[in-house]
Amino acid sequence: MKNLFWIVCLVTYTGTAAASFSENHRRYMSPFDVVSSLYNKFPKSREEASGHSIFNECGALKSSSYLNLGGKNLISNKPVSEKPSVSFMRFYGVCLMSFVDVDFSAAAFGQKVEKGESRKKWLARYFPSRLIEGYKLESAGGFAQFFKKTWSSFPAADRLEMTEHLVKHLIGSKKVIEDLGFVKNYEVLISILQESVDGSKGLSESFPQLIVLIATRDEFLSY
Amino acid sequence: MKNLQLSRREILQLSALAGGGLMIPGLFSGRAEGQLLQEPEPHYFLMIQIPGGWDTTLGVDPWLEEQMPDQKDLFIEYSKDQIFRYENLAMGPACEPLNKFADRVSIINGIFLSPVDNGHEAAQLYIESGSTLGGCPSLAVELSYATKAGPFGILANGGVVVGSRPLSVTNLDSLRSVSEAELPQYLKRFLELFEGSSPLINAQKSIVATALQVDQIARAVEKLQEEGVEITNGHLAGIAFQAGVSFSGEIRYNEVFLDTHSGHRGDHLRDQKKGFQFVADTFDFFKSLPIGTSGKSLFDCTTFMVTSEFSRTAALNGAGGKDHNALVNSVLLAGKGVRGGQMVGRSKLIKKAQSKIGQSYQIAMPFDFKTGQAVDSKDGTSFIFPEQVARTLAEIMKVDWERFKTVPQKTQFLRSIVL
Repeated sequence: MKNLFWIVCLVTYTGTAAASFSENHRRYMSPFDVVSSLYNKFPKSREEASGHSIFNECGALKSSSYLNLGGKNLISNKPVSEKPSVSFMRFYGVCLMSFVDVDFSAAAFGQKVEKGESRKKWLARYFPSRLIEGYKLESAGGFAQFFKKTWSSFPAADRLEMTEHLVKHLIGSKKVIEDLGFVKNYEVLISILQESVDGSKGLSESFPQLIVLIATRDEFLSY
Repeated sequence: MKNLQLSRREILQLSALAGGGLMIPGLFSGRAEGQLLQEPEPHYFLMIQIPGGWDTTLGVDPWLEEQMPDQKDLFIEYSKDQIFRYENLAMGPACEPLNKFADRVSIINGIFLSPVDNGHEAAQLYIESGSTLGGCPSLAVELSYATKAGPFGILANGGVVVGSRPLSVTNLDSLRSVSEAELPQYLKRFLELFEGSSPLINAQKSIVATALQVDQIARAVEKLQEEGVEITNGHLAGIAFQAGVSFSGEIRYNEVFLDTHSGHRGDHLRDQKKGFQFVADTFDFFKSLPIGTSGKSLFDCTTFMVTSEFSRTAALNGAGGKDHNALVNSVLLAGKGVRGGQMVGRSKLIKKAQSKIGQSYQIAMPFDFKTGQAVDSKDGTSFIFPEQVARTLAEIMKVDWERFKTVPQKTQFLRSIVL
């Protein structure tokens, strides 16, 4: 019986911890880990999942999503695609935006009050505390007011700080980014990310874009 | 986020840039990925596999001799009047859905795979790639690599052997709902500024560059849904081909599995016919899709290859089934570049009484490539192997021989079915 327990553990572990796509020097997450990562980074989506049909496809590993996310075909024991493909990106991109939409937009528009978590605490995951001081974030009106501010209305230094804060929350510190080795210069990446956001839009739209830009980076999807 | 949909004008702008290869510098520098050439008549390739190993005597290689065989030598469950004939072509009842396409269909019979049964996977790889070398790309991959590849690479609903070819694989299922209008707009500016490269970045560039085509796919899928059509992988491949995002695909028809080691009678014929119905429905759909302004349909611009892993043994076994037979297989070709109404190669039945192995068997006949005829003697002749099928398809698809490496150009091919 003890041996059986270890066999079950081993099979479970190897099934979930295997890297996605083909093994290479840059290991992409397994389909299981991609979905887990999205739930972990956008926890509100876990609460809201049942109300959104998209989670039937994105939030549960069906055979089609499993293959799209780089899983192995059980017949050939090989991934359908050896590397992240257009198919992967399309599937993942739409799923990611759904997770962000649920976690971020609902709260941003003040439609939902988080369970056991104040709006300010929730917001602190995404924004440096210095930049959300002074806003009456516990009221729906104050919360909405904050999100009406356009991206370009913040000074460049603040935009960089917000970007860096978000990168750290979603992926990790400068050291982690550099260790993963996808970019030569961390500061250049941060600068390009903040420049890529549509500055004319309010934070309720521009910030989700920044989240998507970061969460579609190789660093977010690899070990 | 919902209010960030791409406007029609933005989609058109994106598309105009993408069409000219100007969206992202370097995006279309490689030929294999992302080339969106707008030629008057593109050439597509679609392989359809009916899995499990088909009983060729029921469909593509029917019994044509005057006297019907002894059922203990060759079990067949149809009468001679159920065989459809058109010019040199003959098809058994399983192929009945394809009768109306006979003028566009040719069949290669008598393809020799192996003297022994190596199982489903080995036979599938061989017939689909035209090579016994492990890791050799599927013909859907190699033909696309040696002709043209779109930004979505190879369309497939299962595993595809890509080998070392730099082509991506797009899962057909992912085309069922392509509500990604915001994604290209989100990524566009970043990709213009960011200089790094990775498979993921390349995939993102393709998504930005193909915003219009994706919109076209989404609308076409929506239209079929509104019409109450049950959308198949054949529909999705046709829609994606027409949108110009891919030029090659590989569909495994998973609704059936023909591996009837028992209970062959009735079941196999029914399921094989279901497979050919899917093929016929796909042909019909491709015929309904116009390409360019020349009046040609997608069917006119597509070469189809329909096959299965191997054929099945001649007589019923003790369980009323038929086992794997790698001694002979067939391939059905149709569409662009294929001379219709033709049938080349043959198989022959070795009756139990003449068999050295104690049971009847069906085997490929030697083939004389000079005369284009199957012959009784092996002297000075050869067999048709999957390599010759691959070479024939290379001829039909007019490959770039600098890039097509499955077989050498000097390999013999089946001239009589090439237009």
